[in-house]
Amino acid sequence: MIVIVLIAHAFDTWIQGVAVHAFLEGVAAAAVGMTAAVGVRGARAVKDGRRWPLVVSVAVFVAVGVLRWPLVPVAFVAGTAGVLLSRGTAPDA
Amino acid sequence: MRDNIYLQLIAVFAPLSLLSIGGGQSVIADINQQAVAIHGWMTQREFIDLFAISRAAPGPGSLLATLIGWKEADWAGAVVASLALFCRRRCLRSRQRTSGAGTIAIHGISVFKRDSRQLRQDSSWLAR
Repeated sequence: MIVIVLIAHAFDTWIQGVAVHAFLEGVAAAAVGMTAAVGVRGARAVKDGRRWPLVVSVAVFVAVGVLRWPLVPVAFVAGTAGVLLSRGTAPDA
Repeated sequence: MRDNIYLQLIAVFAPLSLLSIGGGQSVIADINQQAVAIHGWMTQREFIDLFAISRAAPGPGSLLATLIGWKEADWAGAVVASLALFCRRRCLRSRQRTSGAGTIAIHGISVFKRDSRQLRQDSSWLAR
C-alpha cells in the first residue's frame, strides 16, 4: 500500500506532462483488455448447454456499463436470478 | 455524513468489498461511477491515471481504492479506503449475516442521503 501511494505521489509531483497521461492511458487500455479476456474466458467456460448465464452476463454488462446503474442493487438482483435459474434448470451435459 | 470524506469513503468502498466477485476488477465500474460522476472526487482523466497506476504497480488491482482515498484525504484517506474495501471480506467469514446486512444498510443509507441531496439541489426536478 505504501509503495503504490509513493508511486502515485511521484507521478503527481515530479512527472507531469501530456506524454505521461498518454502512457497511463495505454496502460489502462492494456489492463481493460486483460480484464475483458478474463471475462470472455469465464463466459466460455459455461459449456453445459444452458443459455441463461450468458443472458445474465449481458444484462449485468448493459445495466452497469451502459446504463450506469449502481452496482449493489444490480448484483443483488442478478445474483438472486442466477441462484433461482440454476435451481430451476438442469445442465444438458 | 455528507461532509465527512472518511465516512463517504467507507460508504463507497465497504459495500463493494462484499461484491467483488471475481476479484477487485468486478467493482471498478462502480468505483468509477461513484468517484467521478456521483461524488465528483476527480475527473475521468484523473481516474484513468489512478487506475493505470493501480494496475501497473505491484499488488492487487484493488489498490485503486487506496489511491482514491489518498487523493481525497492523504494518508488517512488511503488507510480508511483500504480498510473499508479489504476488512469487510474478513468480517464476512466470521459474522456473515450481521456484517452483510450492516454493510447493505450503510450503502442504502448513503445512497438515500446522496439522492435526496441531489433531488433537493436540482430545482428543475421540483419545477416539474
